[in-house]
Amino acid sequence: MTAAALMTALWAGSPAWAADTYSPNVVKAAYLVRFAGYVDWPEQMPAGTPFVIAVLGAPGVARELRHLLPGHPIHELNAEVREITGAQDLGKPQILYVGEGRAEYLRTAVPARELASVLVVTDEEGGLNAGSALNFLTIDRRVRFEVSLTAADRSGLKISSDLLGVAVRVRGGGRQSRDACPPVDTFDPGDDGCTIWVVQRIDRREPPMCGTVNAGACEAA
Amino acid sequence: MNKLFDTVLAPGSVRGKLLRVMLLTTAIALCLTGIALLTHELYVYRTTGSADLSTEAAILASSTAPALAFDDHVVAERNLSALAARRRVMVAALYSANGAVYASFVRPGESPPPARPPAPGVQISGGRIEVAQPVQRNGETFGTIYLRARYDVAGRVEAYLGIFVLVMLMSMIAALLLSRRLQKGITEPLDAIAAVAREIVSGSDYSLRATKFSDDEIGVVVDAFNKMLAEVQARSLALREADQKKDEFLATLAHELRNPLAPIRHAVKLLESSGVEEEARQWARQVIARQVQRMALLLDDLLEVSRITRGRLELKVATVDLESLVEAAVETAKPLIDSKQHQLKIELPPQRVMLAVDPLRVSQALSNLLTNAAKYTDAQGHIQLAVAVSPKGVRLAVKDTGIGFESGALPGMFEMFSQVDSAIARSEGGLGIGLALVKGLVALHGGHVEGFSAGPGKGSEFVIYLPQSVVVPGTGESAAAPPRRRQGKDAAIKILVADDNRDAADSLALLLEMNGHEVAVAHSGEEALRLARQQLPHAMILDIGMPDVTGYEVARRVRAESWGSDVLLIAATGWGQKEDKDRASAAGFDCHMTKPADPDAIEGLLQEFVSSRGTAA
Repeated sequence: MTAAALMTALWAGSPAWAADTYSPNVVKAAYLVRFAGYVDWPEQMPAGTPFVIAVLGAPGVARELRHLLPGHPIHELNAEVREITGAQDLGKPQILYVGEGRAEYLRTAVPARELASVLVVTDEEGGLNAGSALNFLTIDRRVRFEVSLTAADRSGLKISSDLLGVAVRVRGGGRQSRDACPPVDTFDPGDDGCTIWVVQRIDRREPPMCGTVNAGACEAA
Repeated sequence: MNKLFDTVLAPGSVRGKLLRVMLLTTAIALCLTGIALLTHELYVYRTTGSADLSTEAAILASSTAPALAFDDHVVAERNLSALAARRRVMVAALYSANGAVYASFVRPGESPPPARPPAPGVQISGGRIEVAQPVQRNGETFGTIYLRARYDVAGRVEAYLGIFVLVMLMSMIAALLLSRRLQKGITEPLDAIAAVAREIVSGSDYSLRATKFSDDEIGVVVDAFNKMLAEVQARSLALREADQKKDEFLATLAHELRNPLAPIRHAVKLLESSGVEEEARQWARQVIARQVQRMALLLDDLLEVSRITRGRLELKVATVDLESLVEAAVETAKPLIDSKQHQLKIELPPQRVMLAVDPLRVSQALSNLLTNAAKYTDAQGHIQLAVAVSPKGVRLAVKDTGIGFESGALPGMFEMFSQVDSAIARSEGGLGIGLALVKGLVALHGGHVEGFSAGPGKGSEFVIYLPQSVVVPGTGESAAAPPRRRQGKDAAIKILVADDNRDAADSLALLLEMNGHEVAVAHSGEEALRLARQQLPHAMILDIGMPDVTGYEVARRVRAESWGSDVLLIAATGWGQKEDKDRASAAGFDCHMTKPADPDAIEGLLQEFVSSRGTAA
């Protein structure tokens, strides 16, 4: 199945009835694949090794992934699904999806050090408390997710702000804006005389996140 | 274009032309600049317009990709609504992968985005730029972003034209104001010259001068203008002076020519009346001869001077003895010197010196100096003529004890028609051409004249310097003495004199007869030809201006006769121009004499002819 086919499969109709047409498992499988595009892993994965998505206690999602992954490389690696039953056969996956109701197991049975460099995705209310970086939620019958920057940080992962923008909630985030933001709405021509920096608050979060835009004044000149 | 130039450079003041030139060049420069800027601006507007919108779309595509990827409608709407700050963007739409509008942003009054996503790319048409770009992330295409902005070329051009007209107006005003000030540097000096020129034209006051403002071309013109004015002024002054001199000269001339008439008239009356003793008759004849001689000298001088001033005098250079030259000069001046009982002392160089000069002219110059000395020295004065030869040349000095002159009068003395005031007051008269004639004659020989005086009443000295080049080295050559000294009765020949003026013909015939020649007289051209055929004369003296057959014609016919080729033909006319002489020689004349012909000179010619041909009657 190609990417386009996947998209067509996912968004054939209006978003309002998407959840009606597709089972949450399909959506979750697609999201898991897409999350990979917004996350940076600390180590460069050597070419030839597979990109592994481990699935714990969610055979429905695992089945959908098995449909989806062939011919759909992630970070230019062949992706594969590995269903696991416990911490003993965890191995070294890039993504660990912990199915609904298994967060407690994750929190208690899997040592934190085993999860370094692993993007852990849970799927239940309060899932983030189990130490996962992402957690699926179902809101208005649609699949949403929340982010814990603290957990991602602990695993050495960097989550793109683009992903944060569409997250329902973002927990933590001190590391994302290590330095205090300059006053919001600052307008500052850069030292090189070529750039103009504009500081604006991104969303309405606390602590505030800030962004800068390089206006490329030199090009205009 | 030419018409435009004609308009700009239409007749009028320089100021107006400069102003029009300035305005035209300013306008052209502004128009060209405006067109160039507008073209560039439209080009930039187009390229940056589409580039900006494409960039915008790319940014938007990347920022809306997560919203599409994770189906977040709210975030998608929020992303698009951020475009409210981008006033260029009028319409934005996000299409999902299945081609439906997922989110959109439409400014009030704008038409909604197309229902289906347009093909990716930039499209400029109908005053709008439209950009469509796929929304992609990690190799997955989630949909299409569509942006629309205004592309208002007409508005741009309009705004530009407005600015252009404003700038044009301001430039023109600035150019006007500036040119008023700047042109002062050009037009003011020109106006100044023009004003002076107008004043001069209307008033003929050549003492006016234009003011010089600068060292540029106008300054040069001013300088040249002023120089010309000075020249004109000097010339008009000189002209006036010359005119005045001429008037004075004419008066003097009339007086001088009239003076001898009274004694002549009296003498003639005396001769006419009967019962007068032979002694008285003799006296009367002498009076007439003397006065005629005086008039002839006067006229000779006059003719000579005019020839010199017109450059018509040709020297007849011959090798002559210096002593004989001096003698001839003294002989001419002798009567006046004697009549005033002056003592004349002559110093000559011990050795014999031969000169290559025109003997007539040099002795004329010297005799003029002697005559002047005699004239301007009170009776019983002393006149010294000192002749010396040195390696530098010949020095002929005439010193007298006469009235002298102020040293300031010297430069003018050698000019025509000038006489020292004190000289005018004297009864001797004269035309005031003597010294000018001397100067001219000597100059023709490459020499010069100098005058000295210790002051009025203290005598004067005039010196003729002839250059070394005229001195012929060596002696023994036979000197060709001046003709007037050639009084010879050695050879008598047959002569025909022709002149329609009976008195002139008869008197000349009489004189020639007295010299022993056989003379026939004709009073017309026909008669001259008839007589000549009968008598076959050796020489003919022909008047040119005879009414029936001119002298030229007679000469031509004589030359055509078998016997005519050897005849000495002498033309006698009142005209002494070179053309006349040329014409005479062309007609066959051997020589040309200006009337009244000097009998001695004719005799000299005859003797020369006789000796050269060895013919005798």
